[in-house]
Amino acid sequence: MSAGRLMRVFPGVALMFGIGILGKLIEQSIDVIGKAHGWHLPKIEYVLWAILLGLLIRNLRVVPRMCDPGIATYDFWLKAGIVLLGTRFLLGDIAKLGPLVLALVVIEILFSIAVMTLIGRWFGLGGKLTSLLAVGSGICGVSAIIATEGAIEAEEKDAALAIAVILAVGAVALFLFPFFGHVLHMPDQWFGVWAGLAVDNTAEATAAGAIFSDAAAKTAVLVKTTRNAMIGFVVLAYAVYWANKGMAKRIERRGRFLWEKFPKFVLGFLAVSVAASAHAFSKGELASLANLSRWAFLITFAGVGLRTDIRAMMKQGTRPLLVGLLGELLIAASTLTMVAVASAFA
Amino acid sequence: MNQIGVPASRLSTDWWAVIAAFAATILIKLGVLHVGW
Repeated sequence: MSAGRLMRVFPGVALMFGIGILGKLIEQSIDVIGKAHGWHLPKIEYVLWAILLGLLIRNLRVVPRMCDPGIATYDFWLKAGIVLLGTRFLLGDIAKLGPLVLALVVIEILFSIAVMTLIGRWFGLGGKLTSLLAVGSGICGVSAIIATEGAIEAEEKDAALAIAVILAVGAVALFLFPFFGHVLHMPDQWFGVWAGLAVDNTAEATAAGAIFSDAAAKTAVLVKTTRNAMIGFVVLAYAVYWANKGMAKRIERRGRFLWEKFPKFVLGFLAVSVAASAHAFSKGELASLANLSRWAFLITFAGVGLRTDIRAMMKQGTRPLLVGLLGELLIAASTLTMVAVASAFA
Repeated sequence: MNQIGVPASRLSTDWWAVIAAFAATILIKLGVLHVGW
């Protein structure tokens, strides 16, 4: 990357880092004040502070435009953080959780797509907009919508609308999921499975897990990453569906298409996990890698708040937003039932 | 352009994230980088 490009992203990255540090300081200060006075103050993780501060700053409209290119890199920090998190997953853990997670993910994807399609039709949304919303809620939010937009030749305004709806629903979910998780006294691992299955965007799913607990975040990332890995298959299915209707071009080389859509950071995550499973790292090195992953997530969480423009989301119209919220409500309830059943048998 | 300002046809954010994470892992392995929290 050239020096010019680095300079362009620097202000936004510095802003995200500063907000993250401030979130961390607020968490520590509340802890110190509570201990000094013998008060039992609620433990609110830096994650929530970073998101709330970012949200506040964005919606007070005080973020200079020169920060926007840097804020857009939140996705890079998220993926780098997930790759580094691979050190905390031994292949044995993945193999143990894998089949159950995979089964739950497949059921969730099919259910979410069916629910969103039905509600979209019920509310009279266009076919392609409904497809984009279904993929966004079934798989992984923004990346899935962008991948599908090209494959089914959807209009750009429909993709922008679907992204706005999925981000709005994700923003609500990342606060409500940890709340209900605590109300229902969910164990860390099962809350992580629920958040990974039902929260729409990877950053929001990771944040929802991290607001609940560190262990829940770890599981949420694994489940959400499994959902992300399915992106190619679902986008291909939609491309075939719209091509059969004569409303999108046919995909000739399906193997290449699947590889192009596959999220490559999942390979990095698995490679790091293989190295950790082969005992390639000492205890100190593992601690450093885990801490670096936390720093990357800290920047991501500030970015999640900073790119959430509530007014811009509300401008998108009520019907698509209602479809998104109603669909997410049904998906949250059904995945919670799936998790309850799975935990009873696991 | 992708989200980190690199032409998308050359390298995606996914690959940049993997490269950055691997580079940091190597630096930690070599003992050059220690990260606290």
